[in-house]
Amino acid sequence: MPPRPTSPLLLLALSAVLAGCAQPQLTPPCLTPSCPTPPVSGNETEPNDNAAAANALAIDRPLKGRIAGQPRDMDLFKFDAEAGARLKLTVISVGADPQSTLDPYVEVLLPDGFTVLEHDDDSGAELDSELRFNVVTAGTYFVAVTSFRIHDDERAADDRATNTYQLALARR
Amino acid sequence: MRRPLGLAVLGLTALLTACGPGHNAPTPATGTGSKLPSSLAASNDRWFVELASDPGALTAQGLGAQQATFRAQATASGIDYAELASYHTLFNGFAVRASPAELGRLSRLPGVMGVYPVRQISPPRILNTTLNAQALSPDVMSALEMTGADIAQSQFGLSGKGIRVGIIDTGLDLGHPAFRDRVVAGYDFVGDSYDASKPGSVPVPDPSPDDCQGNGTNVAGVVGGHDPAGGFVGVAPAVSLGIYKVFGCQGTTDSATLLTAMERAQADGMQVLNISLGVPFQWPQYPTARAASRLVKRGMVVSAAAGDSGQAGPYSVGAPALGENVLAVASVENTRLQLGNFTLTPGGEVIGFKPVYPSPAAPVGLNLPVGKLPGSTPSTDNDGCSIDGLSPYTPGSLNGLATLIRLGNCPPRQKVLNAQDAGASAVVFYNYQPGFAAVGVGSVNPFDTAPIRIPVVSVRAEDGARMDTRIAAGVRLNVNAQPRTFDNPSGNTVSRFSALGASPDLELKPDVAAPGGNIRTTTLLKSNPGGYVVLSGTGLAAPQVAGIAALLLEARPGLTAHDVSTLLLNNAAPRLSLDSSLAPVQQQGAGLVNVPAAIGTPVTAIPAKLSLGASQTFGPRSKVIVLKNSSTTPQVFMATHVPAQSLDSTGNATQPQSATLSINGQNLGSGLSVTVPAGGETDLNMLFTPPRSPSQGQYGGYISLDSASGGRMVIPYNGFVGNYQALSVLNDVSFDGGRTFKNLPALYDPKTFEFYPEGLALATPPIYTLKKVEVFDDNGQKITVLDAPQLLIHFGHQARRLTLDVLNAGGTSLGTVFTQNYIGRSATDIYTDVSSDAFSFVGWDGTLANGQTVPAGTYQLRLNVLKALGNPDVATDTETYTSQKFLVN
Repeated sequence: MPPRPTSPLLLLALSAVLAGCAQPQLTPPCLTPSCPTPPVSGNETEPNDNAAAANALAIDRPLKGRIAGQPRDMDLFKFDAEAGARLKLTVISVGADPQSTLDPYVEVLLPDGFTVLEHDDDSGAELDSELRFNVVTAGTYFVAVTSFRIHDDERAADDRATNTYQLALARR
Repeated sequence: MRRPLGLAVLGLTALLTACGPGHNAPTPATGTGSKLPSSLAASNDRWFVELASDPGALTAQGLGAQQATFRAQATASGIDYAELASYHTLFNGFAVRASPAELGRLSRLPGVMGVYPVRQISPPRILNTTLNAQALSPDVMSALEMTGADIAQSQFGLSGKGIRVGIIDTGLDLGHPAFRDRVVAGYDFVGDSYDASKPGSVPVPDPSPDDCQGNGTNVAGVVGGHDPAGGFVGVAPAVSLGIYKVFGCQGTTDSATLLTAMERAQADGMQVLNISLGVPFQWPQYPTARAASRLVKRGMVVSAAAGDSGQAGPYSVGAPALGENVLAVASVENTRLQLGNFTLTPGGEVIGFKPVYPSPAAPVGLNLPVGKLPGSTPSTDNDGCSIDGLSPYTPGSLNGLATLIRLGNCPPRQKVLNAQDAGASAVVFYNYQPGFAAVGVGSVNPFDTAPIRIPVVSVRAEDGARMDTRIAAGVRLNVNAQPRTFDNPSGNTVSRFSALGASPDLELKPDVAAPGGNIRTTTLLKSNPGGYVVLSGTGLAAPQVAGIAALLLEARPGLTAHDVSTLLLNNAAPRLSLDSSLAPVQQQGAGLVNVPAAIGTPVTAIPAKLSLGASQTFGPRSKVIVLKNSSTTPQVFMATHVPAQSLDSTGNATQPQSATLSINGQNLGSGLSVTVPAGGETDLNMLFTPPRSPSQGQYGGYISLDSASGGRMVIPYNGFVGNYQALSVLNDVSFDGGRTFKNLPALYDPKTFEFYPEGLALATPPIYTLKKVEVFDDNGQKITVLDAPQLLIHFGHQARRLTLDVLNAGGTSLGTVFTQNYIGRSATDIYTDVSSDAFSFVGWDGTLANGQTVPAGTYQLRLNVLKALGNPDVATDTETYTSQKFLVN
């Protein structure tokens, strides 16, 4: 895909620098359910099983991932957010790949990498996860994606190679 | 180790007053241990053993192979255990019997994921038997009016027809006319003679779930009884019933059997499941709660009683009600009561009364002059109480009188016996606070065997005061034949017995409330030929919600189980406490369910409840609620913030210092107008700032969305005030009614039944042989015990994880020998008898993680307890205890 003129991460960094000044110019958020999904910008990179090894996740840059390759896989991502950001996180499985066997379960963690800020199992279509949340304190937050089965059962392996998903973070 | 704050303050007082002679020196003390009843340790021997994989991920063969492997390994390693049950669909594993010492080795077998105690479950408590005799008339059906189920039946024509509702309980009176031809599935998992509380009692299943205890028939009547001749209609009078019997005719069942029944209900295709049973003080991860939550994810609505432990403090909601997707149902008092009554003459006022048990019934036509202790008034606080051990009544002074006595200050039994001895022919108690008193006059002391020979009844405070003013001029009472309906003075308030949330992970529980106080329903024909009783308990509130779920599924067939929950929460009506404040969300969830509103609403609010966590963790917290409008016209609401009562750290309701709330950046003030477009959605961006008090307590309230047409939706929220990690877990236990506390955890010796409190210096360390030995129990019977160390642990709050390490003589850890996750809290910190549930046992059989038995020598046990929501990497989130040194020889 063609390079984007300004990366959202850079914008976020800018927004931190400019805190207290005018809001940076951002694409207006799409608020209807039929918003076009931006093209997938890449894949998760294993290992990303803990906060220290989290992959970067950017707004409007969806990533493809897989809960597989090892028993009890957990994929971690991180993103920077400014205070007051209104965000939406989605994890879709069969909607992105009809063959997917994943029932996703997602958490947003505070910058400590441990405390759960938000969690969701099935709020999206069918078994998909969807979280709408707002950021109160600026910082680096984490997203943990796994399967419902792994979340629900402390020893479930659930490492089927077909456990694919697509993760997207958007402004609301 | 530590006590709850209030008790710690008392302890401090004791220390501060310990200046004069005669007081014990503070610890560390040197001495010998204290003794426990020999039967106590033996009763802690049933456990769930969970194997590695989710049953849904394995084939039947794979599951069978995994379970067979476990059995072979357990046998090969020589572990002394007995398998009680095995599970296949909702849970992969077993229920077993093993001593706490053997459990460590069992839990370390390959493939074992966790162990959980199997708890005995008593049938739902019958909290009120006052109205049995008067329960024949149909006009106490106000519970249906309270939820609008009557309108759903009469205006919308709903009956639950074609909907399959399962009930796990004591079975159903299959001969009762209210259920004819509507039982489509059923099973008796235990047989009539089973009683889990009796050692050696073994389940003997049979196909017929005929009820011989009564509670299941009580529950089924609320869900869907229908008996036009008896004037009785339940919530969903045409549902098809699946009846799963898990009790014998007497005694208890256990959570292992409950799990088996849940698997069966799913296999039978039940759309709604009612479970009016539970284990209090638990976790959402307790096996029955997790299994119930999975049932919901697979499409079944599960309604479960929140529990009747409201007087036992916060975090008392039980499993399975705690399950994440399960509807935990609280109880609200019925608005009308049918009561026995008497007429005062002269004057003609009719006063409703409740009989007080145990005492003879007040016979119809009983006609007595009313008297009292001379000088007593409606403000006397010790009316009828003995003074210096002597009755306040002159002998013979009450001859032939119905004696009016104000409650308070001493046991009601003492007042009755004093009046009876002075010649009274009856006693009329009146309450010292609004409403009817919960009062009994049974003996609680085996040496107090005096019979109560006269009728005893209780009346409301205001009726007692009215009678008091009439005594001087002479007044008689005459007991009437016909019961009458009275407004319930506590009607429409949240029942005091209803259990308190939140869950230990601070999720809001219970979810909703339903009528559960003074509910008329079906009972066993053989116990009451009329077939009906009036009872109380969250066990009668849950089936209201199960029946209502059936009505919703009939009215809107496409609804998922999640949709049903959302609609019931969104459209509930928060209720008051007896003191006219909005009752805590931790006691009622979203409030009293409303059927017509849930059926008719075009708008949903998701999530339907908000859990804000601990204020120290999050500070101000933002939440997003999505309002979706399925209608073709825009819907306009006025959003307001309605704080509810807070709970202090011990569970007492207090007036709130409330959270503040803004929506979409605007303070609510007198309200904020919100429009949800036709066929569209709107986000509510909320910012909560938590209150600063009550410290270590819980706050909560509602976002209320009022429409111009008069409808109202609510979204409840809850949070914890302060640092949740400051709640202590390893607390102390009193063995003398709360006067003094033993420092627990304690090291226990199963061969002497003695325990050694934490910090007690021992002159000689206990010696354990790690062999089975024969000892004599308290009854002089010879029993065999494993001579291995155990610990007594009181859990003052639920704990996330317990690990037990063994230390050598030098204090170096030899590794972890036992781990347990998601530990429920103890019921009480005051031990009275073997049923108190004041502490648990954890044991060590002398083997290390490698299976080898340690050589003879000196050792210690160290316990690490990670707190609920605690971070294992933060030292202060874990509490630690180290036992005294002991010898293995």
